[in-house]
Amino acid sequence: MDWLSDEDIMQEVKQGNTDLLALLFHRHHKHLFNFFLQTGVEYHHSEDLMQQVFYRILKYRNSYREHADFRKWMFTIARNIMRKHFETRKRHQEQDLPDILLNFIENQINNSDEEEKIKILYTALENIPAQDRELINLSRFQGMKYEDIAEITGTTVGAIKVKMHRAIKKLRDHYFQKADQ
Amino acid sequence: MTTQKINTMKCNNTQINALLTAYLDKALTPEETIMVEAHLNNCSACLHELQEIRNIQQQIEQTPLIEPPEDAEKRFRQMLEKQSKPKKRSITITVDFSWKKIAAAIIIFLAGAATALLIQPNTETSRSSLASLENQVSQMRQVLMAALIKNDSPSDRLKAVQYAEQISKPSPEVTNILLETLNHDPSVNVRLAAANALQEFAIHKEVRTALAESLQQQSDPMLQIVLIKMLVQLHEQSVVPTLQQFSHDEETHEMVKKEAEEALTVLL
Ligand SMILES: [Zn+2]
Repeated sequence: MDWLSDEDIMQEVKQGNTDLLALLFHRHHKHLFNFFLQTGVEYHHSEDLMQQVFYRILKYRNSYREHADFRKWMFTIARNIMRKHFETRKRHQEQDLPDILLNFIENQINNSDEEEKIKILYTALENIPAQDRELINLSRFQGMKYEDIAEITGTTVGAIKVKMHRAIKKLRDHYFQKADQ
Repeated sequence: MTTQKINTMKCNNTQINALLTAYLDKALTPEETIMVEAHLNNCSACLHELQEIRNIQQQIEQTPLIEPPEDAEKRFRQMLEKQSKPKKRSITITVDFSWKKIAAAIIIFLAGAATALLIQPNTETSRSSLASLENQVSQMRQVLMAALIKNDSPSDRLKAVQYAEQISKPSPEVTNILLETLNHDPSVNVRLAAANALQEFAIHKEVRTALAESLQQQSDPMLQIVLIKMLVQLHEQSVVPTLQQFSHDEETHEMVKKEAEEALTVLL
């Protein structure tokens, strides 16, 4: 089924072949999960939100527009669900990153030099606002184009260019500050 | 490179500096790219910054993603299976369902009436083509509908709405009557039926816009929910402000609020 595009599969789902949504889940859930984690959602909530995103896609499959970029739609929903999640939990913008991100490195990476660098990156990420983490995640970890990010976050490409630079600048300040110590 | 050293270099062109990340991401227009490259020839601060951004981006690329819980996929499949077995119907489906039953009854009644009327002028109709026959039926329905809709009895008005739904090429007059009914009929059932009938005509942009406008006027939660569902399916963007209003307004019914909020998340 790998030769089928996300959009082809989603069209099938829309036409009633809902089992195929499991394929799209398989393809994207890891990235979606990390999108939540890296923006500051705890481990178990990240899974919960990821399930919610796909449940909502299932529920609103009829509103999927033919050929519309599936990932763009998925992240738009993910972002909205995450915002709601932060709101209801009444946590401010400066969420701590889940411990798992830091603990994971210790367990999985054998090279201590590499481990140190990733730790610095996550610590820097922890020190910047959630909106900035979101932008960096969409651009760097998810490889989304600026046009798509602009649409997902409801702004213009011009604004994204500047916002992205500000976000990276903040990250960079923390990252190199740590590296120098 | 020490922190002190960085501080001594400073860029004096903040506008161009702000484009550096986009430059690395190849997201600039050709004009912007030329400007940034010209600037980089003369600005060591930006050159240094560019190198740092590149470093950090490489670091991000080398950072592995964390595995989601192993049974996440299994859980999703189980949810899918549960969903595909029809069980409890949601509110709208129940509404649709009961309405379809009413509709079926009316169609049977209508079919009888229509054939009776059409058979009478036998010599002429036998000569006319099927197309003009349909046209006559359509016209007859329009007339019947216009008459019935003024009736005091809600069930007669329901019939009127059902006539309208059967009209193949509705005149603007028919859609107007339906919209009028949707917005002002005292009976919720008649208003629901009007919404249902209008859905058939939603290929016309004016009808979709009118449906979105109507949502603002409706006070019955059931109708609000039905209209929201309908408009989301029609990708009607003009409904977004109303949905936002619903989600903020404390007076909004809990279920409508939930429906509006969810709808907002899927409308691109
Ligand atoms: Zn410069």
